[in-house]
Amino acid sequence: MASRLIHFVVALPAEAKPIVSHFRLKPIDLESPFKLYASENRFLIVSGTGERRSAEAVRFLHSFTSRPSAVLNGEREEGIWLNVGIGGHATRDLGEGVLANKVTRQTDGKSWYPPRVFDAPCSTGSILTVARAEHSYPGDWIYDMEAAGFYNVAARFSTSELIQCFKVISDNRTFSSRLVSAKLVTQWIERAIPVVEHLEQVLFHLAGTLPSQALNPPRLGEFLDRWHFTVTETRKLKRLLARRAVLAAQPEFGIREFLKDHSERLPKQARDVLGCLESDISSVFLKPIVAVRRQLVVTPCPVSKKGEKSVLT
Amino acid sequence: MIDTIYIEESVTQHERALAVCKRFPNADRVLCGRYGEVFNPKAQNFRLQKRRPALILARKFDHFVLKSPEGCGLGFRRNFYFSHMLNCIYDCRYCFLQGMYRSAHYVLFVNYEDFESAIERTLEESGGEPACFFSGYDCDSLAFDSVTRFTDSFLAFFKRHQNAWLELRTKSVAIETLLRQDPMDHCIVAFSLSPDSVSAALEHGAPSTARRLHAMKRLETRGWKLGLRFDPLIYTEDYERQYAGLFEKAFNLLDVNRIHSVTIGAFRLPKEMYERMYRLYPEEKLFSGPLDLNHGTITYPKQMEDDITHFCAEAVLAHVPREKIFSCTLS
Repeated sequence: MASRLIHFVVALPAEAKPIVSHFRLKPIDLESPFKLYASENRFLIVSGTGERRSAEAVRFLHSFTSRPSAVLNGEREEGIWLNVGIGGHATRDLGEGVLANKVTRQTDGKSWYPPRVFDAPCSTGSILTVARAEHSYPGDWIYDMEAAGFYNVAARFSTSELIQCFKVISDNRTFSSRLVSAKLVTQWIERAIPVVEHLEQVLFHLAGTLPSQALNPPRLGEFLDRWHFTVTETRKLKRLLARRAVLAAQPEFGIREFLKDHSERLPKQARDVLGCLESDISSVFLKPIVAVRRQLVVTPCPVSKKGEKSVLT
Repeated sequence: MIDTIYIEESVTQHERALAVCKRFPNADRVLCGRYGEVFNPKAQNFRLQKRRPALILARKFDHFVLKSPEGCGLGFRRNFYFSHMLNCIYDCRYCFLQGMYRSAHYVLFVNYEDFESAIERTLEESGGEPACFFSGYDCDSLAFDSVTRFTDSFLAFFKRHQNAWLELRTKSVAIETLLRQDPMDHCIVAFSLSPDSVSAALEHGAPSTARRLHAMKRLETRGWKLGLRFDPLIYTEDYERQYAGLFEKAFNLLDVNRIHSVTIGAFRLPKEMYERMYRLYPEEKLFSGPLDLNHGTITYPKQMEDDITHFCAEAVLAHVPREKIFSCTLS
C-alpha cells in the first residue's frame, strides 16, 4: 500500500504552532504566498483567514504535493485533508473540540457533508462559514471563516471520507471573539492535539484500506521497454497485468514469463501482446477447470486484426 | 448500527421519520435540504462508506414506479419495480449497487403513501390485467424491515389490490412480520441463493445460505409462496458440484408445490458499473477473471455463460416444472 499524505490546513500561525511542534514539522523554504511545513508524509499550510485564502491554500498545497506523473496520467491518490482551527458557538464550552458533520457556506447556502465512517473522538456539529466574524451566534452553528473554502476545493483532490474539519471553540456568548488572543488559540489547539492525533491515525488507517490507483503493476516497465505501447494501450496493459496478478497463484509475471508462455508465436506488436495477455487471463482462470473438464477449450493467443477491439482492459 | 442520520428538512415531522429516529436515539442528526446533497456528490468512496453507512431520510417526488427491465419477468406481461430504499445493508461483491451509486449510505423514502398512490395509478392503467411489482431492485426488501416497517405498510396495501402481485426479494432471515400474518396469495417471497462457497466469498454480511433456506421453510409452512433466485450464477472451477449441491439442498427441503418461480441468470453488469466496481475492488477475483462485453453488458465469455446457465437450468428442471423456471437474460 502506498504511503498516503496528510495535509493539515490551518488559518493562523497560532493554530499551526502546536501541530508543527507535536509532529516535529520543519518549515519549507519556498517562495510562496503561504507558510509551509512538512515532515515525511505530513504537510501543513497556513492559509490566512477567510474562505478564499483557505481555498487557495488547499489548491497550492495540492499542487505542491502531487506527483507530476500522477497528474499526467490523470491518476488520483486519495490523500487526507484535515482543516484544524477555531470557531465560535453560542453555548458550547471554550476549548471544546468539534468534528464537522456539515459545512455550509453562508453566502449561498451550499453545504458539504463530511461522511464519518469511524467513531468520532469528540462531539460533532455543523459549521457555518461566514465572511465576517459573527458575534451574536444566532443558530446552532459553529461559526468559522474557512471550512467551506477548504472543503469545496479539497473535495476535488480526494474522497470526502478523508476530508474532515475539526474546530475548537474559541468564543461564545459569554466570551467574545474580540478577547481571543494568539496565546489562547495556541493553548486550545495544544489541548486538542490528542484528538487531532487520533483523527490522523483513523484517517491514515482508512486511506490505507483503499486500493492504490497510482501503483503500476510490478514489472510493467519490462513490457514498455520491449514494445511500443500508445497511452491507451499502456492503460490496457496495466489493467491486464493487474488482473493477471489477482488471478494467478504465482503473481510474479514479467517479460521472461510472458515470452516463455508465448515462445511458439511471439507477438510483434503491442496490440498483439494485449491480445495474448487477455487470453492468458482466461488460461489462468480456467486452468484448474480445464484439467477436469475437457469440453472447455482455452482459446489460443489471438493475433489482432485491424478493427478488432479488446474489452475490459 | 446507525451513527448518523441525515434528515431532509421537509420530512423532519413525518411520522415515519420520527419513528425511525426514535430507534436510533444516539445517532448524530444532520439536517439537509435534499438527499442528493449528501448522496450524489462525486467525491465519495462507496468502499469506505460501506464500513459505516449513514441513513438518509428523504421524500421522493416522482418516478415512484418504473417499468422493469425486459427479460427479467415472472410470466406477467406488465412488470414494474419501486424502491422505497436505495442501497442494502449487505455487501455482496457482485451487486450492481456498488457501481450504481457513489454513496453507500442508505436512503429511505419515508412517503410510502405516495408510492402506494403511484402503484394504484399504474394498476388503473393496466385495466384489470394483473401486474407484478418488484420491490427489491435497489435494496433488500426485508433486511432493514425492523427499521423501515416496509412490509407492514405495503402488505396491507397489496392486500387491497388483488391484481397487483408483489415480489419481495431478499437474502434476509428477518421474516417475523410475514410469519405473524396470513399469507397473501399474490405475494412472492423470493430468496437469492448461492452455493455456500460463493456466499462466503462474495455475500459479505448476508445470512448463510442454510439460514436462508431455513427461513424459506418456515415461510412455506406458514403458507407463503416462495421464489428461488439463482442469480447471479457465479462461475467457479467446481461450479457443477457447488450448484448441484445447492439445488439438492433447496429442493429436498422445500415443497415444489409452494414454489411460485425459480429464476436463473448468469453474472452480468452494465459496463460503466463494472468499471466503477473494478476500481473499488481491484483485488477481487470476480472482476479480474475472463469477462466479455456484450451489447454494453459485461458477462462471462459466451461459452462459459452457456455452460453454467445450461447446467443450472437442467439441474433445476430435474426438480421443478419448466413453467416455473424463468431465465434472466440481457435486454
